[in-house]
Amino acid sequence: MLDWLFSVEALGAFLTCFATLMIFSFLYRDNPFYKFAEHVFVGVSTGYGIVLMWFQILRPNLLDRLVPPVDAVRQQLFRAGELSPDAYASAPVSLAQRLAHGQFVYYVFLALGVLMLFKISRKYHWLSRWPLAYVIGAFAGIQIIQAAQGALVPQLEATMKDFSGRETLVTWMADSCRVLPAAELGTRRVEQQDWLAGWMSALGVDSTRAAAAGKAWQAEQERRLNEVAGLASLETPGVDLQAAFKRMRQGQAQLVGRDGDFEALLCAAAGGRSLDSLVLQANPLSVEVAPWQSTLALAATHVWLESPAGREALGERFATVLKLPATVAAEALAFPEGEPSLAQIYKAEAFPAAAQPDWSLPSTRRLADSLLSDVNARPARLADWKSSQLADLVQRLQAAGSGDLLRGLEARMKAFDALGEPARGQARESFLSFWHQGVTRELRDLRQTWLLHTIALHTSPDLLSAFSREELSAFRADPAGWAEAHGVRDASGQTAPVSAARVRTGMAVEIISNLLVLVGVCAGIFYFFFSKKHTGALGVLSKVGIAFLMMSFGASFGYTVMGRISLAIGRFQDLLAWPWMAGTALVVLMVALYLESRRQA
Amino acid sequence: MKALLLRALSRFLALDRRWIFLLMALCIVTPLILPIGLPFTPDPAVRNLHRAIEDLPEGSVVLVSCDYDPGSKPELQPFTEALFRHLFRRKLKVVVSCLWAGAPPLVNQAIAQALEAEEVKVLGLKDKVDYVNLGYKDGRQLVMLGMGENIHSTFPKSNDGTPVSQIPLMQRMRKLGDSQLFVNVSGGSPGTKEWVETAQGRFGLRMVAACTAVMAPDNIPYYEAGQLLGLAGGMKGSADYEQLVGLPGSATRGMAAQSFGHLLIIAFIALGNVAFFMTRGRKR
Amino acid sequence: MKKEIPLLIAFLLGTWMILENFLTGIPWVGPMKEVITNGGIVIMAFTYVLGIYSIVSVNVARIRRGQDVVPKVALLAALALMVALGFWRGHEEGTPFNWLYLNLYVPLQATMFSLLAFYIASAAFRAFRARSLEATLLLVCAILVMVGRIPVGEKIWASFPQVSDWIMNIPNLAGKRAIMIGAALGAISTGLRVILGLERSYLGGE
Repeated sequence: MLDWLFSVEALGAFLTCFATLMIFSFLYRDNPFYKFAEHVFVGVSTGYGIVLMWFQILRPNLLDRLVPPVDAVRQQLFRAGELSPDAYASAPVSLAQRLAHGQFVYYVFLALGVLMLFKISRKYHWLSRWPLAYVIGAFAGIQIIQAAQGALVPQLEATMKDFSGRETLVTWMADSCRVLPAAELGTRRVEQQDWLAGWMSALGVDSTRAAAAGKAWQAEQERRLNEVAGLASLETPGVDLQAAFKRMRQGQAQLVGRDGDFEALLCAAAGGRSLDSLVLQANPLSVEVAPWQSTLALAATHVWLESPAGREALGERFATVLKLPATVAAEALAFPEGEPSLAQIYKAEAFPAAAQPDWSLPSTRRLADSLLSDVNARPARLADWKSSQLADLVQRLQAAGSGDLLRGLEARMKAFDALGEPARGQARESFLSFWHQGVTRELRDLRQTWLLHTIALHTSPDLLSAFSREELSAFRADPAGWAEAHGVRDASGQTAPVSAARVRTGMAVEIISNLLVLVGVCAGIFYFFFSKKHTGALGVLSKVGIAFLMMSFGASFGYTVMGRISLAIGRFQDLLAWPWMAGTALVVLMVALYLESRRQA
Repeated sequence: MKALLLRALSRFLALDRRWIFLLMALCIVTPLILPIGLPFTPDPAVRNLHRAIEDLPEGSVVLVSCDYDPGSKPELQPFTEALFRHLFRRKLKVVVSCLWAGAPPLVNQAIAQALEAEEVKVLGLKDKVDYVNLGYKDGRQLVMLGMGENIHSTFPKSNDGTPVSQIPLMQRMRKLGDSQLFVNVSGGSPGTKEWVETAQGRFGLRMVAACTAVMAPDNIPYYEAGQLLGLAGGMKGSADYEQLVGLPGSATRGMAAQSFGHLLIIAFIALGNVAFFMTRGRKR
Repeated sequence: MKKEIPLLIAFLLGTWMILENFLTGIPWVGPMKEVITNGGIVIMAFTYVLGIYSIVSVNVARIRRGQDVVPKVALLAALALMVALGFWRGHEEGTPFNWLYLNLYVPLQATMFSLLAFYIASAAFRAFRARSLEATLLLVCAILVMVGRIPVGEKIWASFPQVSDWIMNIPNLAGKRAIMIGAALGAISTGLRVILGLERSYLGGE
């Protein structure tokens, strides 16, 4: 105990408590100890700022650019071919070399910075206007864009909402009936628990059978992924690629599981066929976008590969569940002559399929181009391009005629090679892991995108939104009836419990809220319009505006009180963390204050 | 009776404010010494913030901009501590930058605390591979624009002086758009407002924010417009977040004190107004 | 030329910061953006030097005049100590510099800001009066928000948090949005005035 009392930790605790109480003593009365603490604070914060300014800004952003460190100069010499790999670590670098490799434009900024200091001079203070104008001018430009792009347009857009109550309706629909309404909600995610159960019921599939099929499907998928990992393994010792792939997969295991169940049940709906021959892939569906129609299309593809009866059944389902016209549903399952069918594309892109994608197709090339443009922008992905995969990809690109992209790719490879051995060594582990994740994901997304692309060609977006509107209207009129009609049930087997009255009330509340916000914003803006006297209608509007503004100021005040009290709570929490130290500091301070008041008297 | 009440109220109104300070201090300290565990429901905006992080696949890069100083520590440090623990637990990669000079040591403290947690220790996270603190830069929106273009140029070195070009994690983080989520912990200006208006739309960031209670009402329009996916305001927001990640900390412990402090302020407002109206009536 | 060159600089920089938002796909724009933003960061760092000079000169002058000698000397001593420790032993975790930051800077600053909690309590008691309809509206909303944000509020009435949320998401949103839109328009016009040289107050006299 005695040891601790004389330790640095105890000194720190006492200093913390004493400094806190010295400031708090101001609440009792203004006194020299508070003044002392206040001045010490200004000194400490200024000193802290000086140190940080040097180490975190002036040295890295200015000095190191004017006079680069030795390592940076070695790297540049190596890249220029003036330094061999053997001499890299030990080559001497003179000051002259360092100065020669500096970025000369920063001398301008150094000069401007020095000119700023002339503000102190009475005679030459006008020189400080130049750097000041630089900063003020820059911020004026930033402010215009910030205000227009970041504040004005988004806020105006957000105020002009539709007054249909659609958002509430869709949320109710999804929450109550566990149906996935896809992308209408934008960034607001809908709870999707048990949505599969709803779809299973909707499609008339026996749940036990589908669950068993789902488990088998998932096991098969893991086997396929391990095969993929094996194929993609590089001849690089010490890198656990299986682990890399597993890591990638684990993050998406939940989604994979869900989609596996869904696909399994659809296959079961198509006649209970075996899953062994299915072409499997992980399905990285983003929950936000969650295009249920793509999942349906994906599963449909599996079935097309094997079962004409399944195709027919699914065509019927497309027509019934999605409310697509029969002709469109039929079109979604067949393609005009000359274009490969979905099944063919799917088969071609399966790992480890023998068939190659048709790179002569414009859509194929477009997608490959966008993939490679993205990869080019991130050189970290080119961790190890000595694999057979690279050779294969390069061949494909050559066949597709993407010459420019190839050249860009080669330049990136060189840039990576020029990083220097130490940096490469450090970066290798993360590069490889990221490469597997990144490139494999992109190839997977590429397949996914082709499927979506093909479906989109044959399924009008208008029809899908029309489907949504019809379904929403039906739901609003009679939620329980709609759920019954679609056979949609929640996990416990119940149909939608929400009543039509409740749904309508919720929608009314949303409409009124949106209207109120619109009225409030307009009234608030009109209040600040001083070019016309606030009389008559404008007077009423400005009074409404004042009311809204007062309510918002009230809310701000409430939060301000909360914030200030929180700060006080924090201080007392810190004091109570060291109760004995706080008590001692309090006694010392009280004695000091008493003596000081005696001295004053 | 009424005259007696009026006299009492008048004397009460003229009370030395130091008694009020003492009463406030007692209201705050008592629940801290005698903890009362009051349950509370997390705010929907904080739920969305939590969800935005939960939705990220493993290995995603999260950029955290800690723009606060010790003046906002009680409100924001609990959030930051819970945030890092949550991010590490989810096996997300974390890049931290600061626009306020007082932030870097607080960030280091929060990271160190998160790394000490049992569920994080077993992961064996490595500095510069799984997380990195880039340190502080002054320049407000200039720094934001610089980061949007090239983080390596704006932050040539990390907080401890390591060249950013040699940091493995930074190889996949060249600019703001390379992150899968951007978290702003803001104590004032520059902070959430500047990040949202300057960088969120321009660089297409998925962004969430935690701010002080004073700023929270001003940031609600950004949340409602969808520019922010989630928002945690003040100590209550931090407490909500702690609850959602299952890590009750100093913010949760402070909620009881917060309750009593608020009730005291409300009582003062009510009493003051009652006294005001009664004495005003008498004057008439 | 004492004013014309700075006005030209402001014009060029301001115009660049607007145009660079729209110039995409041009190879030299990216590097130029980097240089200009980094340059601004460096120049702003030098303004800090001015602040340091000001603090030191003012306090030295006061010490010379014999005013508040002890606190002023403490200020300069604390400044010198932090700078010396920071440059001598570094500023990372575990250094004396960092120790002083955590045990002196943090409690001093945090406590300074927390004083406001007590003053708010005093102000609530003495000054917050519902003198008019607008003031009443302000106070009612403030009280509802304060109660709705605390666990006790939820215990008193389970719907208090929802009332508080409604106030935040409807009237507060409308009011703040109106202010934001107005401020954005004002900011655009002010920015244009600075860029076009109509606003010259930042140049000072002469």
